[in-house]
Amino acid sequence: MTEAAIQSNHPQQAEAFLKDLKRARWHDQALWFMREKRDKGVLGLKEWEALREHASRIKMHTLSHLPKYLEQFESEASKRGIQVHWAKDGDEHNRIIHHILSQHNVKRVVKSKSMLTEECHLNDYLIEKGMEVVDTDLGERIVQLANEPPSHIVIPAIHKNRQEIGELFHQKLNTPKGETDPTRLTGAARMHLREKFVQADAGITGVNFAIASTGGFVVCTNEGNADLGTSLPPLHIAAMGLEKLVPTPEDLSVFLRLLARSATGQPVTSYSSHFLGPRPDTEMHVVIVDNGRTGHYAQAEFRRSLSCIRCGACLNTCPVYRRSGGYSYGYTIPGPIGTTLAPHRSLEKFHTLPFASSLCGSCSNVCPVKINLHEQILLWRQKLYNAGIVSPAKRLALGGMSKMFTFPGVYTLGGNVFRGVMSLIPGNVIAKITGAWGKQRDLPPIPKESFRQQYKKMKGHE
Amino acid sequence: MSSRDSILQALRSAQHSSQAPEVEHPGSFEQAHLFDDPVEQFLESVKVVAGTTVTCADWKECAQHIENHELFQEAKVLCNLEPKLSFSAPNNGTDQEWVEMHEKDDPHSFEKVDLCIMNGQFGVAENGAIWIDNRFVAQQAILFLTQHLMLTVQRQEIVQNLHQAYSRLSFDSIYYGCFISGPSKTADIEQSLVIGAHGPRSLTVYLIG
Repeated sequence: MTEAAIQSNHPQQAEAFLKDLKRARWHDQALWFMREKRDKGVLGLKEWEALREHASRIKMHTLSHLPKYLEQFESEASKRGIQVHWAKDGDEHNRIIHHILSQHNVKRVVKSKSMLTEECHLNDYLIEKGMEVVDTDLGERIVQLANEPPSHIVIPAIHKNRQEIGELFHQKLNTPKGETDPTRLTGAARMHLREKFVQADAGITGVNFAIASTGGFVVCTNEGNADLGTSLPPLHIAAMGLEKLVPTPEDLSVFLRLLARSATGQPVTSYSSHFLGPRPDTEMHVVIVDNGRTGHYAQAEFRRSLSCIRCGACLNTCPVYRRSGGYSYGYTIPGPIGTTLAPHRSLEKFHTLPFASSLCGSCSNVCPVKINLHEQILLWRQKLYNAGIVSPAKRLALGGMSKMFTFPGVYTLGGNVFRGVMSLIPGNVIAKITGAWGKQRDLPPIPKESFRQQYKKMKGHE
Repeated sequence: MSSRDSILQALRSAQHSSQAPEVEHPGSFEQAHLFDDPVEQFLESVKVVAGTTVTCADWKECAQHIENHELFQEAKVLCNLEPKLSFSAPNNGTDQEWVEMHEKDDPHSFEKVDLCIMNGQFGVAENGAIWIDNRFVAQQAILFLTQHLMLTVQRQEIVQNLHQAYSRLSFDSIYYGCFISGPSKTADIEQSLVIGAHGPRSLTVYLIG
């Protein structure tokens, strides 16, 4: 199942997810647990808000000088013996990586987590060319074995429970039937993947942060898979979105303090690995990828979402993500950040996403780099309306409301008619009229009088 | 036009057309809270990230403690990268194999290492992280292949936070460096924390001095 195969229709997918209410509740709580861990991690840092502000400014500064920093990175990385490539889209990214791999006669590739390679569907591309590609992050290996995409950007298999993973491992890794203990299942994956690491001809990683002033880049993992995957074979290829830059190593301190605390509540990931050049007698390549990012960059009002450091905090806190699951978005990156990024690919295809939000603003409040996520989501709604890509019912309702609010007389009259009519209609009919909104909610009781009427009366009593 | 040039050109033209104001770099972060006792905090942080700590007065005491450690005694293949430590090896029994590291070694040759002992450059109080780089380990693979890892850090080499850490780091002559904070771990199965994902199953930190 690839992203392309899923037509993005959030309400429909969310409805499917919610059919199993028990599981939906479990998913909701699992993600909320992550949010609580994040809160504990953050509370330990008195300067948290100042640090967020600082990070936000560094990112905005970097974005406002992005071409300069990209050139600086390229030149410094080259001095270190890192070979830098540029890809305008996912297809070119895949071709470049395949070309490097085939030059080295690579048969077996180990990968550590990279949402960019997910976005470009690198695995499918390389597997089709006859290579073995093994995802080595445990969560990613689980979804790869299940032939599914990740449903979360930090914990890719969060939608699966231990029984399902146990059954999957029983079938694929030969663990005993009925084994569901996370420690033993992880142990089995460790043995299985150790073999893959040792046999690998090349390692592919993502990039958490690339450093403009020195060249080189940082990859953060808890498992150590990026390090094992790149320290054994003689070839390391890193795929990097062009927005991943920070100006100097000193800036890394700000982001490394924010990233793990926001993601899991840890003070830092187990490994913050600095790849600053190839080991002796080996090769290191970085592929800088556009794939729609320059178009996104050109829209100044949306530019801040290119600051994202992929911590996943906005997913964990989002009441909609928690109750609809990662697949309901139909995009590589789900949740509030996915909702702000996906329409840059296609406003048409992802037109339901900006409505998959309560606009509560919790995402913006937890974002470690202070992206105005909920404001951007609202902006997308406006763009959709202006582009005429909203459902006729929504358009009618919004158009009508706009008129009504413009003319106070119409508003008063409308209110009177509404109160009269609604009290006559049975509840099950109202549920039909209110659409998706009314599925699990009842309208509050309709008051007999408007606020203004009540106010006038009360004033008379004074 | 090459992809490189068209990407850079697209960004430059977006820079001009969007008329977004240039944003100044905010400079160094100066508002970090400092710990009264960074060494205590470092030891506490190592425990938080699932590491174990041992404090030793000097290198001799450290070597003795390691020799008496069950991980040391049970290890069949060992590697010591800390020049200040010497062991009366073979310690107990003759089946212990010591491996040495040279720059030209095939990293795969460290696959069977049970215990690796290495010198950390400095420790970070806020998160228990210890900096290591390739000047002291030519093949970093060993740090992830080994079943158990022991790192030494000197008491005077503890910094408050990552800001202080980066201010003392230079990347000029290294190709690999890493902050190691605790053993390898994962919580990818139902968020249950499991120690020993791909890398070391344990991390013991020896604080010297």
